[in-house]
Amino acid sequence: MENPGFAVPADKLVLIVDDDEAVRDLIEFVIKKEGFRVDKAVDGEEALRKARQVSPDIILLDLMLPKFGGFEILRELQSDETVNIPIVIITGRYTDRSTSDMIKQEPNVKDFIEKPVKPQALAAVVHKILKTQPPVKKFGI
Amino acid sequence: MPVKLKHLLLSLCAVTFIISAAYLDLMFRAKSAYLEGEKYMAWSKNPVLKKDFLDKIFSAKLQALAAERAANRITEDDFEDKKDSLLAEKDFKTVESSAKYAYVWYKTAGTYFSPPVTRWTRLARQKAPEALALWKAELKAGKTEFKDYQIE
Repeated sequence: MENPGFAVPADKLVLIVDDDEAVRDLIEFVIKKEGFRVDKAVDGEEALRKARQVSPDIILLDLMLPKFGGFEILRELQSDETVNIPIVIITGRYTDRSTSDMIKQEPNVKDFIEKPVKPQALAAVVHKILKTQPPVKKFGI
Repeated sequence: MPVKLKHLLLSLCAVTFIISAAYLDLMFRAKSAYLEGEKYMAWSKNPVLKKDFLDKIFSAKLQALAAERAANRITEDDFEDKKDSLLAEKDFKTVESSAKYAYVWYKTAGTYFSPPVTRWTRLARQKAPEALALWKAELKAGKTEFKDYQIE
């Protein structure tokens, strides 16, 4: 049953950006299981291209090293075409406080997820930002 | 064969096919997640394996970068910047806790991809406590304060 206060996950497109195939596959599975549509990119360049082409509703961006090149991608995504796309940063534990504070100042960054990715936490963050509801589980699998 | 019976059999076949496909998909995903856990567990017990793996990736990426520089597709400054990024990425990944990654991958295999209970979910559940103990030992050695609920 749909709740009128929430959007439908199937109407939302999630762009996943991660160079690690195993992580990318896991995130794709989690996001599709929640009912969203998915597109994928392996690096920043492909992410920028796809963000402009397909206009995703949210970008899950692996930013292993925000200090070294990651900011360029964030800034590029603040251009006219993509400025309104919310971004969730997926990063390692050792991002220091000053770096994470700097990233949080970026207007398009909405949240952080720590690596390694925990499926339930990821799904909760995406639903919260896109104002969608998790699908009703009808079967055990 | 009566039409109703034919439809019933076809429906049963379709349902069996869908359930089998879902079972196999989850089983292979659990296996894949379990093997990721195994990789990180091996790195945790023998950091030289991790170093070798990251060195190989760094060398391959550096080679590709050098080829771009040789073809004048990037400037010398860009080459140096990108090389520094690659080095920093390697260093960053080196200090990440392999035990932590092993634990989370085992946990993902053992819980998120189960049911169904398969060989891989059982193995993952068996090995997760060992990875967790290693991770906790690392945190304690680094004098990082934590409560069990924060990491489990």
